[in-house]
Amino acid sequence: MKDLLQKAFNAVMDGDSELARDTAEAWLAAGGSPLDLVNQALTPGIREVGRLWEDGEYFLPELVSGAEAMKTAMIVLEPAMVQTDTGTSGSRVILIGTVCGDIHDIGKSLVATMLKANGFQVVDLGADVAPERFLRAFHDHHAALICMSALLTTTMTGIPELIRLFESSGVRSQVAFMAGGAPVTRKWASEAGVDYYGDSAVDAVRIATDHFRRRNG
Amino acid sequence: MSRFLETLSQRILLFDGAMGTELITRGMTRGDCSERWVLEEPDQVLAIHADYSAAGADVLITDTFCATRHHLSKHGLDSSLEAVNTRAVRLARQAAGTGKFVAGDVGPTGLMWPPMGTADDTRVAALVTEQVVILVQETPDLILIETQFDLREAVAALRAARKMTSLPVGVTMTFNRTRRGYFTLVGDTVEKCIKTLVDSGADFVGANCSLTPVDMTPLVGLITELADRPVLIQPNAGQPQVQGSTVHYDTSPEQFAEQIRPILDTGVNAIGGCCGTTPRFIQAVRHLLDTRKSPEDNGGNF
Repeated sequence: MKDLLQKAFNAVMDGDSELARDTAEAWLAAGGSPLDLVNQALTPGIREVGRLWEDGEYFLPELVSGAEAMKTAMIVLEPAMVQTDTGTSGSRVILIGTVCGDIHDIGKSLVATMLKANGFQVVDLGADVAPERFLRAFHDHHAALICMSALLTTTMTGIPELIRLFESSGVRSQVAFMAGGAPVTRKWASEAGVDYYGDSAVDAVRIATDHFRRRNG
Repeated sequence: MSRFLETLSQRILLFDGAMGTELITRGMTRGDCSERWVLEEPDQVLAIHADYSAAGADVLITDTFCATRHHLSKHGLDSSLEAVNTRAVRLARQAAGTGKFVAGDVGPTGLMWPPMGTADDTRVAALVTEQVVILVQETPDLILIETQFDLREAVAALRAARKMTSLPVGVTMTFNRTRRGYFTLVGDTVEKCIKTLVDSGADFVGANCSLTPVDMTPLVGLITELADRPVLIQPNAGQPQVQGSTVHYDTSPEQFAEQIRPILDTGVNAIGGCCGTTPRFIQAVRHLLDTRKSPEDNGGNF
């Protein structure tokens, strides 16, 4: 079994989706607990991928391949997890989208992939999302965190606009906002009324993890 | 040799600055497609070109950064592909006259390469070919393939453009600064990019976007060392700041020009501005170019 743990870790590190799937299947066939594979191999693997990316050793292709390998393994494990996982308390739902007018969704999709790979329930609203759609989805999914991104300086003002809509609708206190994107800076995000600024997909995972830990206890 | 390349070998040429932010100050709504303004508000696009020309720019870049079919279709403008590209060159030419140069602009196609997406040589070449064929019919002075963050796409676009025209074709890459040095988003090194682009027939190479002049200066040193042909550099104005619903940059035109000075000293052949720069920034750099004294005054690293 130890050998399979190492294989699963390596599959994520090397971005090898096929190996990730095969290893997850072999793990279940050998009677392993799906949560053990997640906690002891896949999650450490994706964290290591994230660390190497932050250190400038890995780049976008390695990050995307690693997250894809993790997702592939999760698809195999998830049916078994439903039976064994006692579940987490409280919402782990995250809404994500690029703000109104911004059709650039590469970074946003990467953040969504990384959040999913780390076990969050992500509702991806896509690109060019009107503020009203964010609000409707917030109600529909009982989301606890909303991630917004903007690539252009010309669209980033959509971030404070969205927050103002939640304020005027009286639901601002029920949800936290995270923002990112090339022109967005920590200082700017803070002034725009955003709760969290994420400067990378890895940073976003860390912030979301801390947020839900505090929120759900 | 083309008049553009000949001039580039004689003195440092000044390219213009940002187009999108200028359109916004003239009333373009956030998120609208700046290429739509070529069709619907051509006088405004012309006015921006004229402002850059009056500020002293030698080269005006057409408003066609997102004018491939792939991008235009996202805005429902794919049926206007020919009109956008044709009219955009005419507007730049109208402001440039015969004395200045017009660069037909080609941005990233919007496709991502594996493992992020499904782009390949054939798809990128088809999109770029289609755009460049239209651009060159209006006889710009050069083709500028810019803001490239994946060398695979840059090379595919360069080869496609090269096949379609004998005009000078240049490529600028976008690099991020990391602890380990400068890399594109997908991890291409500066050395690999510049060597590959030179080998693939780029008439000039360079870097644009993402970085301020200060962060770009060491990168420019690397590029001028590696490239045996002219180098174009277009930094951003600084970090964007937001007040209310407007965005501005924390660097003044004069500070920008002062930060450009060391870049000129590395021996670049052309300089310009990317995100956040305005005609005032270009005017400040014009003043610097006209007044600076340097042994390398003529530029020219080749």
